[in-house]
This record gives sequence, structure tokens and C-alpha cells, in this order.
Amino acid sequence: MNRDKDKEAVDESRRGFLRAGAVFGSLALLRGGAGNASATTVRLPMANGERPLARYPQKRALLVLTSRPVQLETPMAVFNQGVITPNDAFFVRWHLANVPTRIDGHRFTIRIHGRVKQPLEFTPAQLANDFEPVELTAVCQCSGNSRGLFEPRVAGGQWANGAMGNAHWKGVRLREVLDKAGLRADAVQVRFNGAEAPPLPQTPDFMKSLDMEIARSEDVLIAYAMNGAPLPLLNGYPLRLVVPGWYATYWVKMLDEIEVLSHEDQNFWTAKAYRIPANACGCLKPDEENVPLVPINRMNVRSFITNIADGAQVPAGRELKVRGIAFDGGFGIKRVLFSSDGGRHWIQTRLGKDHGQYSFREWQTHFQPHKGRSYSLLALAINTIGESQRFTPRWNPSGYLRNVVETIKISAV
Amino acid sequence: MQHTGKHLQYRLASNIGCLFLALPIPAFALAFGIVAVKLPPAAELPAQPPNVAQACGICHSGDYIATQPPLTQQQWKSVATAMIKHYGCPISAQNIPIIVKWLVETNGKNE
Ligand code: HEC
Repeated sequence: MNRDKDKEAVDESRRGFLRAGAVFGSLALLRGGAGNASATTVRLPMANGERPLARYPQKRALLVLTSRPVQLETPMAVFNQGVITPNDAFFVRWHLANVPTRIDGHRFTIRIHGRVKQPLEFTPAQLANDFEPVELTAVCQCSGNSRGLFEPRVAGGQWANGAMGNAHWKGVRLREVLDKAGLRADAVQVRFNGAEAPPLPQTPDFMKSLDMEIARSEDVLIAYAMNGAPLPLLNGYPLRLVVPGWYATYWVKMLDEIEVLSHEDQNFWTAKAYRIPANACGCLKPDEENVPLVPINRMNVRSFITNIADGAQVPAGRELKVRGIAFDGGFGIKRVLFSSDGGRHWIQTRLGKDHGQYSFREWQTHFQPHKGRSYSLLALAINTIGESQRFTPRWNPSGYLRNVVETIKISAV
Repeated sequence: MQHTGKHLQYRLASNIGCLFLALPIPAFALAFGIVAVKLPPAAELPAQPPNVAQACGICHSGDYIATQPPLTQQQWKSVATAMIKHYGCPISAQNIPIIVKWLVETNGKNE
């Protein structure tokens, strides 16, 4: 069974990508060799980019970045199959060694305490029954998505572009839960902690904090369902924070503690990690030092061509359909432009159905390749407040915020 | 026994979710049952790790090291130092050069 499904996934990515392409890792399928529980290896377009393609619990075969803590990348083929990323294909990213492998959803509780009038505790079922359910579609993207494509390379999780996914989330508004507990007058931040735990007492527990204004915004949810089902354990079963438009580092998984603070959080993961240069670009030069930093926050605009792989050979003299996805930090995609000549000429693409301003937005267009010619295909997304992608990749030492216009080189035969 | 039942219920729910992706969430009640998973084995530390490098395996698998781009000696030194400073990796200062030597031999590059 499993093996068939793996093979299907590989065949699917071969079919979907018009023969080959290093960018999507659909080329270079090797046998064995990775010292992991897998039969197949995919090569991502970076040095040391070999990734076992393996099945983890409740998951189809995904690219294994690391096996403990588990970090799994979604193959790009998945994003060509629909605007929603299936639960079993959704990327996985944990930080600390002790991630529970067994959760009793009846007994699991989330505790709200700190600067509140009435500390409270809820089971997932209580949250689902006692509060108004809210549903929205939103992209969850790792802060370090595409880090492996940075040049010069930087240390950290070496993702290609698949540390992202778009799901339909269902849960309750965080602010309603906070209001039930009653905020004290000096409350300024809210800190989130999940059941993942450090192996040593001196290792900082993974916690993230949001300013009250963000925490109380309309669309911040404590989610108990993802695409109509409980969350997969590896995506944070049974409860996960959903902060639409913001990078996934804030989407704390297996959420079991919410602490209201009267001061700015000094915890390592908020105060020291996940920080970006405090300039408009969020970038610096490789040898620049002592640049002020701020916590990473809202996502920038991105787009991807999903049906054609880099290096593909396409049939000449026939209309070639080009399609993909675009998203931003919650303002919504206004336009996606397409160029087949490396950016000299652009045409407007047709946008697909609108699933809300936090969702992937599908787009498509077409053009006619001529025999013997090569093409550089580019997609450029612009959001409703006029933000667009960059033409030159930004650089920062943590490998955050990549949103360069990606290039797909093809030739027509 | 009861556990198995709940587990199955969960699996069923998750299959439904995967099959009918574009549909709104069906009106059935979500079952918050017991979910237990067994993970595939962890990747071992690469090459021949010196004894003192076993500490690197306390917090993560060996693929954390093997998937990094080739790094310079200076860069590996700062990774090792960060592990001690930020996360409390139990390695004494005099063993850092031994670890860095192994890291550079395993996955290094020249300046
Ligand atoms: C006490 C726990 C702990 C120990 C011991 C430890 N690490 Fe780490 N290591 C971490 C954590 C936590 C991260 C980053 C977590 C994250 O952001 O995903 C990390 C990340 C890394 C990374 C990825 C690059 C980066 O900077 O994020 C490398 C490489 C690495 N460790 C190597 C080592 C080596 C080599 C050793 C042994 C000298 C070691 N680690 C020991 C906790 C530890």
C-alpha cells in the first residue's frame, strides 16, 4: 500500500512537470542511500540538496529535511493539484527534541493564565462547543521557506520552496477566549506555548509572543480543524494557533498554554530568534554587522509557476498553458503578471477563484513557444496595497523573507 | 480497545478531509480522540563522529548537520558555539576544536 502510494507520488510529479526539472526536485530520483526509512531520494537545487522521500504518520511521501525533530517539505507538484494543500501533504516543522507522539484529545487542555482576571482551562471539545466557530482559508509559510536558495548560503533549515501550505482552518477567535478570562489593565503581550518540549533544562522552551493588538485581531484563531478534519499530529493536533498573513513561527502547534504578559517577552525564541533587519528591505550585506533587528512578522508577496519545472523541454508550435499560485501577508493578490522573455515584456494573467485574502490565489495564462528557442518564464505578483516581488534576491543571515521573482528556464522542441 | 476505536474514527475523519478538499467543513462533530504515531528511525550523525560529538545527538538527528551547505571552519565554529550558548549543548570549550574538525571534514569548504 505504502509503496504504491510513494510510487504514485513520484509518477505524479514526473507527469505533472513536463519531463524533469531540478527546481521541483522531480528529476534525479535516486534509489536508497540516505540512511533513512525511504527508498527514493529527491535532489533539490542546492548543494547537499538530496532529500529522502519518505512517509511519516498521517502523511504521504514528503521530502525529509530532518528526521528528529521531524521536518518535512511538500513537493512542488502538490501545489499544482489544487489551491488547498491536503493535510497529508502539508509541510512539517518542529524545533525541539521532545515532540509528543501520543496525544489524548479528550484529556488535552489549553490553559489561559498570567495577567487575566480568571485563569481558565479548556479541552478542545469545550472550545469547539462553547465558542462561535470561525472558518477561513490561509497560507501557513515557514519563516525560512526557500532558505536553501540563498546565495551566499546560510546555516539553518535548508528548505527549497515547499515549506508552505494553504488550508481551510476552523477554530475559535483567540480574543473571545482572552475576553472570557478577562484581560487585566497592564496586559501588553500574549505568549503561546505548545506541548513540544526541550530535552535539557537549559534549552529554552519554544514559545512565541504577539503584541495585544495583533493577538486580538479578528482573524487570529485557535484552530481545532484543518481541511475538515482534526489536525494531523505532526501539524499540531489537537490545537494550533492560526495567525493569518503572518509567518508560521507564530502558528504554535499542540497549543496548550496561553500566558498574558505585562511586559515584552524576553524568551529566547521571541527576543533573540526569528528576527529580521529593521530596514524596509529586511536585508543586509553579508559582512554587515550590528544592524538593529525586529521580530519577523507579516509575510511578503510571492508567486510560483507550478506546472512547469526548471529545465523542462516543451512542445513547440502549440499553446503552452502556464499556471501557478500567488499569496501575500493578508492584503490579497491584485494581479499576477507573466513574462516569457526574462522580464522584458509582461502580460496580465487570469486569476482563479478568490478564497479570501489569506489564501493561495491561483492564476493562469498561456503563450506559444517556437521550435529551437529557449525561454525564461517569470511570474510577478502584486497585492492590493501595491507591494510586489523583488527582482534581486534579498540577503540576510537567517535566510528569511525570500520573495524574489523566480525564473523557470525552458526550451521548445 | 476503546483507544483503537477512537483512532479509527480519527483516521476516517482525516481521510474525508483529504478527499473532499474544496468542500466546506462537513457538519459532523470532530472527534478529539487519542492519536498515537510511530516515527521512522532518526538519521545518525554523519561520518565517524568523535565521542564528544554524541552530545550533538541529544537534540536532533544527524541530518541537521548533513543537510547544511558546506560551511567554512569559521562558520562551523559559530554553529557549534551557538549550540552551546543558545541551547545549552553540553560540550566543554576545549572539545569545540575536536567537533569543528569533524564537522569540517564531514561537510566543510575552504574560505
Ligand atoms: C541542547 C540542544 C542541542 C544540542 C545538544 C545541539 N543542538 Fe544543534 N540545534 C538545536 C536547536 C534548538 C536548533 C535550531 C532549532 C530550530 O530553529 O529549528 C539547532 C540547529 C542546528 C543546526 C542547523 C543550523 C542552525 O543554526 O539552525 C545545526 C547544523 C546544528 N544544530 C548542529 C549541531 C551540532 C554540530 C551540535 C553538537 C556540537 C549540536 N547541534 C548540538 C539544539 C541543539
